[in-house]
Amino acid sequence: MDIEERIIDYINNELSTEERQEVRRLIESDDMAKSLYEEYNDLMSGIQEEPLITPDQEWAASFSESLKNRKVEQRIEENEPKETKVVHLQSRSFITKIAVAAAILIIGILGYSNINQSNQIDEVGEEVYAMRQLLESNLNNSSVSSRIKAVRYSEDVDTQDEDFIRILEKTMREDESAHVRLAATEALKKWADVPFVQESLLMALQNEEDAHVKILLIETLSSIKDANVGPHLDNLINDVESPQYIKDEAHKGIFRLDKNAKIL
Amino acid sequence: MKNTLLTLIVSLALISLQAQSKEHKISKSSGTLVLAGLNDVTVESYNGSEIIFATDSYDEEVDERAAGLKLVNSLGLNDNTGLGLAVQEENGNVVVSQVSSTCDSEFKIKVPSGMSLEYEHTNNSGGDIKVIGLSKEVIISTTYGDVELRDITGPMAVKSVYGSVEAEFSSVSQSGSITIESIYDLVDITLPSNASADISMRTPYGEIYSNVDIDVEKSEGMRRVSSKTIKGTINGGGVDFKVKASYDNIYLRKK
Repeated sequence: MDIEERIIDYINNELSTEERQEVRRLIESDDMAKSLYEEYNDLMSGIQEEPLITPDQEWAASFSESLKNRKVEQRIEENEPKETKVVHLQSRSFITKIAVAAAILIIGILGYSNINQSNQIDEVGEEVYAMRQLLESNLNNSSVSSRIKAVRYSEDVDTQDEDFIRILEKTMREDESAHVRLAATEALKKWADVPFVQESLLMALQNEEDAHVKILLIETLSSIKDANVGPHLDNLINDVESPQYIKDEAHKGIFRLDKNAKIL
Repeated sequence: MKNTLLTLIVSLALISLQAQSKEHKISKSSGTLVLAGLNDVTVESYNGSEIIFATDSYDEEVDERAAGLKLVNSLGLNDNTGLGLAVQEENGNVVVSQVSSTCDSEFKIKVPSGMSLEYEHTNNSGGDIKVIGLSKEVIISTTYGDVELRDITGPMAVKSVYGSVEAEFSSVSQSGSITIESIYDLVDITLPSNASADISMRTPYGEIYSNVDIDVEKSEGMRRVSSKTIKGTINGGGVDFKVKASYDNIYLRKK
């Protein structure tokens, strides 16, 4: 068992007395173990605290309604081919898995104990839902670096769930910090060929005022093979108010688009 | 004669001291210090309960035509510090803007250790910032200015279009995230040897130099050597730490 798992078991009170003492000594003597403990403890207690302290009635009602709808949809879908929602957590961030596991646990408690609904959600649906909740709750944080951290969680998630992608898309358009919009644009790269994402990226290209985000939007849009992108880049080049570096990047974008077209 | 000379020397020293000690203080020890458009500034953390603004070079130019008028900046704000700065409190934060956009003063600001910092500079005059000893969140965005960070810990998000970013960490905070980016200039980072992080470094048109032991993420057992992106863990992994220099080099060193 590695140190991360032992610390998580320690937080969850799943170790023997001897093992607990051993981990406690390690946390007290080793800076890295202490940091891991603090991070996992903050993360897991943060996730647990928010919904459990004051389960909002409106939210609970909405969740209950969502469960009912889900049951109806499942009954309808029983005889239809299912559109699979695939969620894979890539291996890079162990903490993401822990966060999702904790979120699933909380949602499970709310869904099955507090709201008293029967277990009708399949595992994949739970995981998508948990990721959405985790992302949304962390994006409400007032700290810029914490919101960036939340967006980065999504880089470990491989899903085509539209609601999940829309949270990122909204963050890319609306977050007040250019740093967070930049992180969200980066995260959306892997969904850039999804039609509504592409449309939103093109819209952001027109409206975005931050140079960094704008350059990343040009880079992202010019990497996809779509004829709609070229005219938008031309507009930037011909706009007298565009700074020279934006025009330069737009030129490079058009070059990349031409290169993609030749490959096609 | 001797007394006259002594008086003259003391007077000159006092005048010189007075010129150096132009200060403005406000009582504040938490929240965020927001610096909007200050051309050249050093922000240093200290154990105190006041924000201390100082400059040794601000001399308001005398424009005879402006006699009886006050200098106003683009936000409609006046100098309320005597240093060419407009300082306001908004939602528990302290917001500071430079009144004269052509002023080339260097500002030194001491902030209590419990405060976070936000700095934004977009015009093409100055924009260099140096930050020393801050352990709360640091958010910096410049277009042309260089960023120098000393004895810092994160969390932070720092980006510059044309400026370089140099960051020397005293330790690496495990809360929040750390992001450091420059588009057209270099990024140079020094980490303590015990720093732990999940690191991602990307430079599409530059090189990456490092003497830090990075456990590089492998794809199906093989390392990707052609990519200009390195992802991996330092000392077993930890905080999300992202570095990008689009057209220049990344230097990652250990102390």
